[in-house]
Amino acid sequence: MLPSGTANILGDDALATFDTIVIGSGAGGSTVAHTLARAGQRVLVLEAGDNHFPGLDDPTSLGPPTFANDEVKLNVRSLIAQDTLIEPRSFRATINDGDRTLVGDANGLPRNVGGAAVHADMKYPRFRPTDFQLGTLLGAIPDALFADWPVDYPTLERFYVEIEQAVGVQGPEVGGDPFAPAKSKPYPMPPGLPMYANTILAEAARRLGYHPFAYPTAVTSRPYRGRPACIDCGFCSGYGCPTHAKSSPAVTLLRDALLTGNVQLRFNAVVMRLIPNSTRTQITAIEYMDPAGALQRVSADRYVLAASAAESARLVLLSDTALGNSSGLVGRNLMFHFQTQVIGILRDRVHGHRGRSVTMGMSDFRGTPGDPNAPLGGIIELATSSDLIGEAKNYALQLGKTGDILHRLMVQSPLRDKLIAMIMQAEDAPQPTNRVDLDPALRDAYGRPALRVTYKNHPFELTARDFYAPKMLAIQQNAGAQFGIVAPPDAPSQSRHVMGTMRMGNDPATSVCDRTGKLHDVGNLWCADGGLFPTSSGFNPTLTLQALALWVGANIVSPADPTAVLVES
Amino acid sequence: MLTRRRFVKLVGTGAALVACGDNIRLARGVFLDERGYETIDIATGIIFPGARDAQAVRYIDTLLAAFEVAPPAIFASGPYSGRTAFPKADDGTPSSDFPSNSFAEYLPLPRIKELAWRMRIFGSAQTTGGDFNDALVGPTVGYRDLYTDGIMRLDAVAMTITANTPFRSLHPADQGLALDTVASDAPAFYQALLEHTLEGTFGAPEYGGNTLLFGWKLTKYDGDSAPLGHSFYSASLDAYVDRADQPTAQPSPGDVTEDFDDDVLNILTVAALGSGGKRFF
Repeated sequence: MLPSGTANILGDDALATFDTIVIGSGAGGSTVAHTLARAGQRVLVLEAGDNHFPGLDDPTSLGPPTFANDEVKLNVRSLIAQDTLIEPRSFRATINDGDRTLVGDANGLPRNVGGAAVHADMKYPRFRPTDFQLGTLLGAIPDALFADWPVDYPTLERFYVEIEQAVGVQGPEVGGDPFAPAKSKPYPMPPGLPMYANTILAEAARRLGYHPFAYPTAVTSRPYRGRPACIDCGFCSGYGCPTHAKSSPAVTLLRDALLTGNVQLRFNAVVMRLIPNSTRTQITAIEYMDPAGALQRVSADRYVLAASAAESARLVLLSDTALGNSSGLVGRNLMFHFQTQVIGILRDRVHGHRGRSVTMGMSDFRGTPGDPNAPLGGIIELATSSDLIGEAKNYALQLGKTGDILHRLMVQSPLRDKLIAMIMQAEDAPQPTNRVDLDPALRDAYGRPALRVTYKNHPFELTARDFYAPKMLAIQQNAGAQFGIVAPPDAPSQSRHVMGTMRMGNDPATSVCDRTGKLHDVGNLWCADGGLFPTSSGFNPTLTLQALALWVGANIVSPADPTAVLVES
Repeated sequence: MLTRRRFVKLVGTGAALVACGDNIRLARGVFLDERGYETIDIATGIIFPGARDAQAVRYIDTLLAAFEVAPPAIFASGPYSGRTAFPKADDGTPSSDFPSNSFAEYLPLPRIKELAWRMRIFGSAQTTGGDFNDALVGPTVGYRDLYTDGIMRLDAVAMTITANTPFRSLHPADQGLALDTVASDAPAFYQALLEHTLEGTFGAPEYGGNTLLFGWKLTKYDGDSAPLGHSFYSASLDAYVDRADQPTAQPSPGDVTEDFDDDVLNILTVAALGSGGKRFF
């Protein structure tokens, strides 16, 4: 039997008519497809990237993926990361910088079946109840557009539970984050082993009165629903999992969706544009480029954008710049988590290449809305460094060292084997001037105008950085670091937490999508990815993104009572 | 098209594609001729002493010749190399059951990925359909042209140092000077050489370099660890067991505190103070 990937189709290849077309097979698209298919809808999922899970639709066995502990394949040669020759992006800080100041990577996310979560290390904390109310709690801030979410935490709580159980999240029941909101159901698995590098920082933080905890993570710590417990191979952040222990959407909800028999997934299928009717109130078809490079059209009753915050907005703009855009906000309020990295260098080896990239965190620096003595920062990942080629290139390219001194740096390994790091994922103020749009001249290999990022930090997050960086340095000193380094803010941002651009809200004048994810202006088009986020919070976004995508799907199939789709609580 | 295994057989020496762990030293590559191979070999050793032991040049030649095999030698397959065993089901220690080496095969490339890698290796202007942004950002010069030009430049500069002497025959100190000159005259070549030298020294050996795991042993790096990994969930104990020789949650056995040498301390001090950070002691 040929592997199912041969024809670039997974699932039922006999399906020819569809109720819904979902664009993107990542965290949002997998979740929506699963919800709709389980309710009996026939769903077509279009994925721009390739497939590395050959057995994903095989009911007898998931089978091995083609991912591996291979830095050349995943990091150096970008097996799944956005290839800058195929899909270059451009960047500028403001419109005063001309058309662009950089061409290459600007917050690109992986292209493959399963989306960006395939490469993520799957940190899965919940947002806090107040994170949904920052418009009210912060009040007006010049040049920023903080807004309340149109759904609140109590509404989403059972949707969080559903995702935590369905995908498999490990997390503590005792000794967890003391500032986290109450949960109506415990995590399905306890934490696995902490990484040695993380425990050094956690002990220092505890001595200084902070509250580190085992990070809620969508990785197995027990055999779970047919997948094995994680072996801490060490190739987690940036890598596809070779054993399926990572609870990524591909091997959880997407596989479950494919096994319903109601889903067909076409990969290496790049959506070129949505085709609206003349009044732009309905989508009538989608045009995509098939694996051979030919254009194809396909139609359904409804369409769901789940291509990532940046790419979903780009697709709308590629289709018709007036589509869904009576608010003028499509592509605007682009947010990344503002990352502050404070690195410590020990004289002891901490083997950060073993474990799940990040196993502990603390949220003492999340702050309190409106309190000038506790500005809104974010959760801190206690992290380390693992990649060997990456280390060598840091010395050679960033520090300019070659020859004998490069050899000694690699042997003594200050920036890998002796490195302990803290990364704050801080709230990023939504600003209408930060946006994605179409580059006027740059093209991708499919012939589409390239995506352009225009982004500049607001004093809001820079102030929080200045407030917390010295406290992070103090933790490093207490941990026994010989050196503490505050990594400079990066421009363009290297964050892969991409949010905003398709903001949800109750008022069509100030938002693109309504509280169910449907575009205000279009009768049969929804968004179900990070584009919906009105604010970024200060916690890793994927769990909330999936809970929200589930909410979107639930409102499509069961609008009178969205909770009717929930089976885990 | 040739399959990978068949290709190895045909070229006889196993020039571009070599089983992991072998220590075959080649006189030439598949793309690089004898002069080019020795020139690049020496240059990698100037960038990183040890790169010649790791045979980074073989990694470079494998990349330059990637499209001489099918599937192209770009992405090794997975999930396992066979360097570690499956864990025993009862206690997680290594069993005698090793997976086969799937790194030794390459993944087929989708049309659009093949386009990108042809652009990288042959150049955007030399690749059908690859020149779509050349008018705006300039052409992507292919690695083959970069290396061919770089080798020519190294020999040309060498001749200005010692008459009638190619780069590979220069006095070692002069080879360093010649490489410095070419680095400033041809920065794109030098950047590629630098990155490829480090990839070839520290990447998985199936890509051609890191011979006998030289780069991993030098840096006390475990390399690919799956399927054994560094921890084991024991069903009988209902608990995780840390791997004894390469633990996750504990220091490695035998590790001791190591002082940095003075040059490294100076580099780190400059980096820390320049960032608004601190040297604590």
